[in-house]
Amino acid sequence: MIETRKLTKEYEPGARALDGLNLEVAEGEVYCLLGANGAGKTTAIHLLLDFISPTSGEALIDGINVARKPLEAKTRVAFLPENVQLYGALSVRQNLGFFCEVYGKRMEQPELEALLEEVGLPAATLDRRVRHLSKGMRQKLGLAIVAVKGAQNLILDEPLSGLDPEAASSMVGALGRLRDRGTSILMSTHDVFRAKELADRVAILLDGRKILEKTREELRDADLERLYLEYIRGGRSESEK
Amino acid sequence: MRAHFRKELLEGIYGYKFVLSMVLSLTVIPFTLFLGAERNELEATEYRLSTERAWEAVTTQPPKPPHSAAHVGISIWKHPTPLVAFSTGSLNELGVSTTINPHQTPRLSGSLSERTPLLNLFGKLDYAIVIQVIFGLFAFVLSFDLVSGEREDGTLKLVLAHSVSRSEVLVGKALGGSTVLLIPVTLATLLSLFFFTPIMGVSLTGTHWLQVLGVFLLSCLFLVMMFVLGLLVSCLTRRRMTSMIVLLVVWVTLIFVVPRAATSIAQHLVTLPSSEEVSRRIREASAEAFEKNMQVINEWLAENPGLTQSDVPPSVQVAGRRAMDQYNESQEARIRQNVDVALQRQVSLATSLARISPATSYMLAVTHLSGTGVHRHQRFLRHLDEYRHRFAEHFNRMEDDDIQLVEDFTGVPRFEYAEEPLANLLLTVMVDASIMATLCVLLFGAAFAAFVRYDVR
Repeated sequence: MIETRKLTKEYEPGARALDGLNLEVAEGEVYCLLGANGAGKTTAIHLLLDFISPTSGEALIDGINVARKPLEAKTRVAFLPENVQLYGALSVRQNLGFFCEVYGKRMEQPELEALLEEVGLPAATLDRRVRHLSKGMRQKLGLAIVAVKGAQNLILDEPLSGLDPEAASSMVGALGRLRDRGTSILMSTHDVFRAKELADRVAILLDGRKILEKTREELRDADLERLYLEYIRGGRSESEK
Repeated sequence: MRAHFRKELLEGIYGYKFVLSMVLSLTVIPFTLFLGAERNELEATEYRLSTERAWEAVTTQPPKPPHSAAHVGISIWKHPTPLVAFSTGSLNELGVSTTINPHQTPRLSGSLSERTPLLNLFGKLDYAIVIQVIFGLFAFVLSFDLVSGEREDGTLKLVLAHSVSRSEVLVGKALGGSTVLLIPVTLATLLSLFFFTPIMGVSLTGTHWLQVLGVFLLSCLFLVMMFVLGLLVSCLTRRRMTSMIVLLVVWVTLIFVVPRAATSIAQHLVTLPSSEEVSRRIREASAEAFEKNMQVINEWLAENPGLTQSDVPPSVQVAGRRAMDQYNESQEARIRQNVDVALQRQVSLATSLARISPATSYMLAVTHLSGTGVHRHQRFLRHLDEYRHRFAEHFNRMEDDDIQLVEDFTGVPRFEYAEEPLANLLLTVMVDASIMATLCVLLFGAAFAAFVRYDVR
């Protein structure tokens, strides 16, 4: 489970990049953070991964405080950054091999092939150099790398950014399969359509504050794009409305 | 850490930089060693022939009085060193031969630069320069993006999102990257040395091989130090382009600016008398020396009134001449010693200042170990001076024994030069090796401190 409690980050005194964020991503749930650039999505993710320290509040992975026990918390979470390039000079197999070793895992050929299939990559790509892969393929490989870890919590920063519709759809399918296996997924995105398609819950961030949170059921008949624009332009929170 | 080491190693080996470094090392290193071997062969032959000719000239000269024979002197050539292939050092600029004069401190002349001005046109090329300039740059090329590049590519976030310690990541990078840097240099050096002795015809003694090993280890230390410096800059910058530009400036400063600036500063701070000034002082001393000779003769004439200069007996003439020579020698030695002391201070200041750059430390250490620097030259001069005394003494003894004409010259002492023991060489080299090793540790410590605080975002 991924959780934040009144999580706040000030890069400079008075300038809050994130302001008292509360969220909870349950097991087998996809939680999408929507918001414009600078809304605080990436800051929240960086706090959950201990890349930066919070000004106040808590970031928790399976109940473990990330700021206090970063290494313990990080064993329970996998992360896929935006537009990850990976190690271009190495093959897909060598990239996977490196991360397997970092995660303390070992994978044989059939397992590697099954993993690639799960994220939508053909087994033939195993021995291709990563620098020769398309952006979509690299992003899928990134997903395969985080899947190797087998963590129950997954955090993705703009995983669909810059992907063509087919690649994005394939990525969404792969994420759905991970969710079905009980993985808690927190992802930030600009893509409201994909968010609606995949998310069990959606939150909109504006100037570091969560101004809206809706469940899949609440969004079923709603126009998420209209809602998003209305809230972003209005700048008001749900409670204020 | 093993995973990070292996990844760095694989990534390095599969990269184009490694291929480029391999091609460069396998062509340039054997080429420079081949050039050095060729030069060594020429110098060894020249040395052997010249020494034989000089000895023959001494032993076959027509009979002459001891004093005249001593003044004819003997030509001595500096012993060449086969390690010139590894470092030319100051060999091109330093003289190689002298004629022993019993009353003059020996000075070597006839440097290669004088004999072959072409060498001054574009500078020299040897193993140490290839390591310092080309592979020193390559150390930066391989390290500049290790951290800043991974941050830009997002892989640093991917790695550090897992429960790995940053020290593990940094040590893996440092070890893996250094190995990638050292593989081509080691291979090319080993391959060249394999051909060096049998094909290039260089004969190396056991001590020479140990010196070669020392040069290689110093080269590795220097390259690792430069690599760690690159790693530090990569840890201090956020973009690979910034690290590259910073490191280019650092490279130019360390390799070219610091040594030249140190020389200029030393030249300004410690001034040397001009050669005209030195000659004038020596001429004055010679005039005073002549007075000493005349003083002995005049004293004898005063004691023997009515007699003229043509009546002065040979024993008084010898005494007068010896008084003159002694005075001349002591005055000239004093003048030259003053110049040498100033020169020594200048060189010592320049090298101390230049040691700010580890590239200079490396060059000084390699030059010293190869015996191509000023140190061996000065040691050779000291040996020559000792020999000069033995040479003069030989003929003085003959004069004292009232030998009028020397007919057999085979008893003239021969000059033998013993190379400095390896242990002494290593002790001196340890200063520069320690500077590089300490810098390496300090730079890695700084890189570690920077990486622990590195903002991976």
